[in-house]
Amino acid sequence: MTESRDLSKKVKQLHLVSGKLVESFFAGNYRSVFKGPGLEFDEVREYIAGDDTRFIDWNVSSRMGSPYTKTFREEREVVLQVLIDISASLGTGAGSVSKQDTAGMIFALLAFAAVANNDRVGSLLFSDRIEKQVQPMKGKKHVLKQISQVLSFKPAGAGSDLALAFRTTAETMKRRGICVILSDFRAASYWSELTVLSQRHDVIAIRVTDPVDRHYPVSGLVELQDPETGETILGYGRSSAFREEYAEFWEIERLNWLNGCRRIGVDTLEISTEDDVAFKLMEYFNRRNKRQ
Amino acid sequence: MLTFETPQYLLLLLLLPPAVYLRHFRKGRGAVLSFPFRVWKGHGFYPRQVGLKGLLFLFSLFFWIGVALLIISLGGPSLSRHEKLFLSRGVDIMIVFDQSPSMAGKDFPPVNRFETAREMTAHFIAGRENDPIGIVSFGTDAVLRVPPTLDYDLLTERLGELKIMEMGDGTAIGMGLAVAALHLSTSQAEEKIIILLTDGENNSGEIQPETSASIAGKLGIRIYTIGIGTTGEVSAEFTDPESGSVYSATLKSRFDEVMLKTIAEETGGRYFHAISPGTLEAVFQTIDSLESVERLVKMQVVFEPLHYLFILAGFLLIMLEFIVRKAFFREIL
Amino acid sequence: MKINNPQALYLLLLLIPLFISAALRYRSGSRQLLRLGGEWRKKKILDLYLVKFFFSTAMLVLFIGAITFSLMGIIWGQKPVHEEKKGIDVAFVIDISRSMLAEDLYPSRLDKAVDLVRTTMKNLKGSRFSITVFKGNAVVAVPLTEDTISIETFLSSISPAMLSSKGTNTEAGIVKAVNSFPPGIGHNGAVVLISDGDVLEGNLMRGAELAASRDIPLFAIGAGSVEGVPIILNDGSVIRDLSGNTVITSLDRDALAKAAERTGGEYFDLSSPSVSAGLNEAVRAINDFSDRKGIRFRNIEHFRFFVILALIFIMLHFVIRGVKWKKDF
Repeated sequence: MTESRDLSKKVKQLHLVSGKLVESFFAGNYRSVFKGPGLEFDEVREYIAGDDTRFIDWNVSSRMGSPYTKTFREEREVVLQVLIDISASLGTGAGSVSKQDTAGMIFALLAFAAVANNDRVGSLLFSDRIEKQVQPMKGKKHVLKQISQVLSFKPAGAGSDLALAFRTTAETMKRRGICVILSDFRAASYWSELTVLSQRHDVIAIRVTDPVDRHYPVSGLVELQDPETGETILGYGRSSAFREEYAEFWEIERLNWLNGCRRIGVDTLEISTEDDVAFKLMEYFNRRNKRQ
Repeated sequence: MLTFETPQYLLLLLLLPPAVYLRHFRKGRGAVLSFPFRVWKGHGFYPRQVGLKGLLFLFSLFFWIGVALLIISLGGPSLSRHEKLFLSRGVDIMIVFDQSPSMAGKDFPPVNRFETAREMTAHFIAGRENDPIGIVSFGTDAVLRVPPTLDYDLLTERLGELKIMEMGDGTAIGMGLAVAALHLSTSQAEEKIIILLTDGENNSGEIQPETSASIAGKLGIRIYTIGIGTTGEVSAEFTDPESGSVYSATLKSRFDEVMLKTIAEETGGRYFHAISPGTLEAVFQTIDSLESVERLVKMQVVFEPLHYLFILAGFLLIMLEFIVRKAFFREIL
Repeated sequence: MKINNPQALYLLLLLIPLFISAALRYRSGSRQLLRLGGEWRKKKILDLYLVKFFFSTAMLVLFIGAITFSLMGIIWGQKPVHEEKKGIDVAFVIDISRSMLAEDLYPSRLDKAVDLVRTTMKNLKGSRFSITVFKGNAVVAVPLTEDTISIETFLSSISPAMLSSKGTNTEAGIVKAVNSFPPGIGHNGAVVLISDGDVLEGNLMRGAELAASRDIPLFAIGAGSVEGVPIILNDGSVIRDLSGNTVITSLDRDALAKAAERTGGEYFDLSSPSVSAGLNEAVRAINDFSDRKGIRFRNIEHFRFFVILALIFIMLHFVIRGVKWKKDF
């Protein structure tokens, strides 16, 4: 009861926040960052020196007696496919919001921006199985429904099978589109699938993190249970050796991920549960805009 | 021997293995915090914690031992001891000890007559059971050292305190026998005996040995007399307990064998002559075997309850684990 | 109902540090939990933590309480046991400290005590007696014997000068007396303690514990008055302390009565005219007890009930901690 009210409030808030953002800045940026998959014929105009001779429309030119060239614009309609990890490890998270909520928020912002640009938004919720797949569709209503689904979905599986999600996406997305992956990337052997996916689509890997992902806090003895496997270890944050070992382990893990993504040309972004999601995304869009 | 008053409670120990499982090994147990530390289908963060795990294991072991001790305490553990309970009276024995200087005669190795006699007496006492034994010693005068008692510890202690010449340099055999007889007079024992240990002749005291013997005889007391030492010259060395000076002398040892024999025979006892430590031992053995009465003995089991120890130890072990976990390791849950 | 070891109650002092540490642990524990588990579910975590913490600590408190009760030696009811012992051995423990010279009893406390010993011996003819005297330490003056003559000889010469140590160590006296009963003699033992109870050293109660553990009742005879009197020496002078004040010796009646009660014995006032009759009757009663076909009634100590409670509480402590609530911890 309270939970569902919380959720609808959250969605509303998100709508408000992102609504403003979309108006002012976000939407434009979004378009410039995510160009369409191909070129769309726009019009034919007189050839001006310097135009690419390849695009001269010979039919028109012969009819009119002077050279005319075809102009193109990018295809307007883009498909935004968001892959959201809702495995058990995302259900935890230190900080003021859980990882799943952070992921939901990122999804919401992206989805609103896409809707403002009249793009189609689809989502794929996965754990160790495909939990829910929504075909890309247009419309605000449709997007709102997806957002609340992301925020409240109770997964049936515990693990996070990234490879399966990538394979499924690659199979279902026929045309080139934008693929955003929201996950903590705590899974192994997904690289070949990610490579395939990145060859066909514009893939952005967003790693959802929290403060204790990198540094274990100074704290007393507590038995820790992995939510995905049920194994336990002893968390003993009073020991500096323990904290160092922990930090080292996850730093290596993170660097591996960053390098792997760079190697196959996948754009990366890290967003912590402590961060302002909108700010982080804007920053990212700015950065990406400049790069182009 | 450890025995249990109500051993059926020990069956509760069978509950320990499932309890250990429920606390430490059950999947889905509480007091664990959900915290991802693994890469799915890959490796994970497994810290090296041999020391920490070892310590926790040790203290958990303490905890379960503590619980086990509490359960054992329910069984009513007691230390049982079989104790001899004498239902009949023993023989009342008075040992009359000569403390005159001649007892320092060195013809009884390793030290002298006195020490040998003392050692043999102690040996004799240790061999008796349920027989009240007392000690009278005499020199110029006689005195009761220990009244007939079963408190053999105290008896041996007092025997060890005797010194040559404490009572002067005389030999009041008659007085010694009289004192012994007097202190046996109130005894209700059926058998009463006096063992007289001397190496000299009566030369002091107001009462003649024969008089004492006849009194003893009337009281139903048998007297065993033991003449110690060889006759003839013998060297002696002793310390005067009063002045502390050491005397060395050659004694002319003589004793009144006739008197000792008469006394013994008159009261139904026997006379022995001990010329060496070996013979003295044999003499005591003879008396020991002569004076054995039939004893009514019952073995009874005495229980000393120990449950307090078990409860206390169990409690401390349980609290120890708690304190180590909470105060030392600062366990959160 | 009787309590054998009230000192077990000291265990409850453990609760003070426990409460303090519990408060501290709750504070730091909830902070650390939030850091590890996330602020976003603060309410859920803290509610659950509070409930679990409160009840598991409560169970631990109850556990300590139950253990305390089990160690207190709470007694109610009696059960019959078969006993072979017949006859009585009496060990007299006589205080020969200077304070026993006080003349508030005629002719003096010590003389009156000696009279009582004599009368008792006469009343219990055929029994064995021992005499232990004590001041700062204790000595078995006459071991357990039937030889009343030796006891009489000793009594005629009894005086504070017999022992050079200073003070009044009642515990040492009782311990020596209890140990003067040789094992396996098949008699019932009784200790008769005559003292003015001005206990300066040793622990009277500890002596009583020892006697109780051997099933030997202690009969305590209090000499002198509770108000106290000065001690007058032979030359008529009065003992004074360093600052010149007269040393007053007074009777600690309660301590003696408590010690006697602990062993199943009785307390008497030496000044009372009926003291010898009362003592005689009480001592004889031990014997009569077991004379009826050798059956004696022994107190039943209840500890199992409390140990079971303690086990239940400690298990509940772990059940509360160890059962996962709301899928959290």
